[in-house]
Amino acid sequence: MSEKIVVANKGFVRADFSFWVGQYMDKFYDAFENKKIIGNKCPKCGKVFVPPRKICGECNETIIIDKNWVELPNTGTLLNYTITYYRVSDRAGRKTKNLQIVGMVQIDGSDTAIIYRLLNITPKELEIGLKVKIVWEEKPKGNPLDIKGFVRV
Amino acid sequence: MGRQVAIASAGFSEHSSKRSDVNIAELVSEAINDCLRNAPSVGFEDIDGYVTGNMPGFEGNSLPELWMTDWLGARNKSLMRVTTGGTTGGSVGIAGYYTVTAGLPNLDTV
Amino acid sequence: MEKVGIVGYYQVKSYADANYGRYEMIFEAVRGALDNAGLNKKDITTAISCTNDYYDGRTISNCYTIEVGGGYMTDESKVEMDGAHAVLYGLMRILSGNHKLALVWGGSMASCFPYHAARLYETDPTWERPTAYVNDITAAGFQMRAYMERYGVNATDIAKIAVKNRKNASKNPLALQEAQKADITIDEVLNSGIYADPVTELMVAQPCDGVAALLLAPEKQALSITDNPVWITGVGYSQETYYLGDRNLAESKSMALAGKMAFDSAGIKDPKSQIDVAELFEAYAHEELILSEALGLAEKGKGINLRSEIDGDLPINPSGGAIGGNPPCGTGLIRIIEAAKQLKGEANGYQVKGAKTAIASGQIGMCAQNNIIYVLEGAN
Repeated sequence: MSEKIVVANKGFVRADFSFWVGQYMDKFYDAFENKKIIGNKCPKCGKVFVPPRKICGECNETIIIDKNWVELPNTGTLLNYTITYYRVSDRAGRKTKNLQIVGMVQIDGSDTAIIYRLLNITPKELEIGLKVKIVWEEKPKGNPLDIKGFVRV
Repeated sequence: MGRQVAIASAGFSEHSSKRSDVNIAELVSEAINDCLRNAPSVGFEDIDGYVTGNMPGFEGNSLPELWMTDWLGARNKSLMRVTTGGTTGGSVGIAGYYTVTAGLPNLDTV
Repeated sequence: MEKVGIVGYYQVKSYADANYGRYEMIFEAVRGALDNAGLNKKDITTAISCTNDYYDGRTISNCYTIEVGGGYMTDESKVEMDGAHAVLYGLMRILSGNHKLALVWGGSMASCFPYHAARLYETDPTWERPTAYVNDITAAGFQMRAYMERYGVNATDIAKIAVKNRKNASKNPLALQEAQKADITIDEVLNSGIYADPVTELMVAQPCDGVAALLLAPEKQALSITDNPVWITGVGYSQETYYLGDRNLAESKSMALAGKMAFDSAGIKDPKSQIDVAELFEAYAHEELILSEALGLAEKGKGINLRSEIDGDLPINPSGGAIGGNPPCGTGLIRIIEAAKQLKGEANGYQVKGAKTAIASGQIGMCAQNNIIYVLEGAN
């Protein structure tokens, strides 16, 4: 290819999407407004899911919505963690100057893990198996941002 | 060369202009459960593979079959994804036909 | 499984920021593959593309690539996963008996779109997406830490894979220039800056610009087109569950199932001794270890003991792998092409001597949720 000029056009396509979360997540987020975590339990294998699900992936069993609910504490165990300077949004992935510690936490009594920031902790203090608890927003609104993160117990 | 293929069953989710009681994954699982209900001798354990499709740009989800794995019943199963915009419905059917007729080992029911 | 032949291929060089228009690059790949086989557009009966609406910035992304992608007036479709999955669909179309020549192409230009933002749309919109704590960057960190904790492997050993692949890439003229470093050291990799601890920047297969294409034909036609086809003798693909908290990230269940499916169909009983060369799509250095262990090439946690250099016992990624160039939607296809080059003796500068049987893999999803693997055999 000889000398050529390729013109670049930059543009931003804006498309806002709203998603129905479904009745199971609806109940889950309602509990957020009371600063509580609930999960549901597969009637066949007994696995407890946080957040709740309609289908158990192992058994392919539909978990009926009227029952099978389990109330869970706000505490959990740290299963895994990573530390990064990157922040990803639906517009860009950027490298920032601030470290963010993201952890995979298994809420006590559940069989899955949720992934949120770890707060008030330095990288040196991190270890797998740490006991942590949820820090809620002052006034939860019933969405995933109500959980600010986890801190050591 | 290719095997003969039969359509064994079909199913729908409940249609309505707004289904505010389910998220996308649950809507898909309604259709799949309906399909299996219409073929009583076939269960999730008999399904060998999946062919799925959607319209990612229109839906706001990229590769949703990945997060919908459990709702599809596709855990640890073979899955291929075909999307061609509005014609996806037909393309998925055609891809399903090709998956079975190709006769790849252990892919009998898709 | 009946044999299907790869009768032609072409790979456009990977660039960090290519001085190409999108259609120009696709045309070069498709035209190149046809010229490589000595065929013409009219010989193609079906064309499968692999692009992604979010990467192309257009819905129905195959709509715009019909003319340059060989799809005009042919039976055309699009697979939206990795390039290797598009080859799967092309393979199925040939095995059906309905088609005599299938064109498969895939690739994108990562310099033209925000890659991590586009990958964020893969996450669960009802739970994970608003907070964006789960994304492909943090997923890499979780996966590497899970592997290190489970098997006691340290970052220095994993960095050796990044060193090996970057050195291999320096011998591959089509690899990404930024990835080619013949004199790279383990310390350089470990000190290249945090990506998602413990992953460092140089352990990551950076997305870039690139397109590749290949042609498939049934046995009889393949032998009339070329006297040196590469045969696809087995394929397997499988998908794990999605949520990272549900998975054991230290191993790859989907690759194990895919490998079993592929080896069964190709009649491979002992992969470690029967495979001469492997081209695995490793999005991060540690994934090469996890995937090769899942395939049975090494015991769990012992992948680092495998001698996988070009002159080793079982060379893995002699072309540099994905670390040598990772154009989204094209990387798996390039792995197949690189494996085919090895079997044809055309891998100048990084040829594995006497390679007769190869495997090539592709993946899609966070932490390789869906894996596909091919078994390839040379004709001679």
